[in-house]
Amino acid sequence: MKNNLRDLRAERGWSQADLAEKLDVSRQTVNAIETEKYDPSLPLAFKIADVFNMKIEDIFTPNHSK
Amino acid sequence: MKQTMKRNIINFRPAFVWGLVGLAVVFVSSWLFQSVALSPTLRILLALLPLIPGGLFLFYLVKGLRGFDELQQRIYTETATLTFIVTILLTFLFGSLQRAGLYAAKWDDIGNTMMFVWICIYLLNEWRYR
Repeated sequence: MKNNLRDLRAERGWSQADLAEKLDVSRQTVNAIETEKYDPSLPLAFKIADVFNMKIEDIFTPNHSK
Repeated sequence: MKQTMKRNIINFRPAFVWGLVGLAVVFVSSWLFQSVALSPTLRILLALLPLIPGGLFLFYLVKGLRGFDELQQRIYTETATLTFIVTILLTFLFGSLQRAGLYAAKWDDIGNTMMFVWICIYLLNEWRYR
């Protein structure tokens, strides 16, 4: 799954550690999501969307979508 | 890596303590079996005594794992599965070598091999969650 988490985080001037703290996960998890090595669970995806005040589909897109 | 190790230490401290208590109970009960004349009832109780710290060790181990976030839980679960499978394979390997008459492994050899493999798997685990 693709995502624009890194850009969204950079726009807000947050470090990975800052975002990790807001999401109550580790920095490694944020890094793994950003580098698309790990797809978050649905509850975590909702939490991410909530933190950025966006919809999940605006942050995450399936690999096959154009 | 340092942060991960720090969190691991905090999460697994109770399990570590109960593991040590369990080992101490095993050593003390082994010493008592060999050096003191005990009644059959007491022998049974003493033999079962390590189950209490062992059970608490397991309880706090699982509790420690639940304190992790979802990625770490997934990696640790995969590591536990890998460790379990490798342990079974090694056990069968040692057993097969002994049945074939090629190598009769001592308990120390088995223990050291298992420990080495578990440490390698643990390092792999830490590398994956870096």
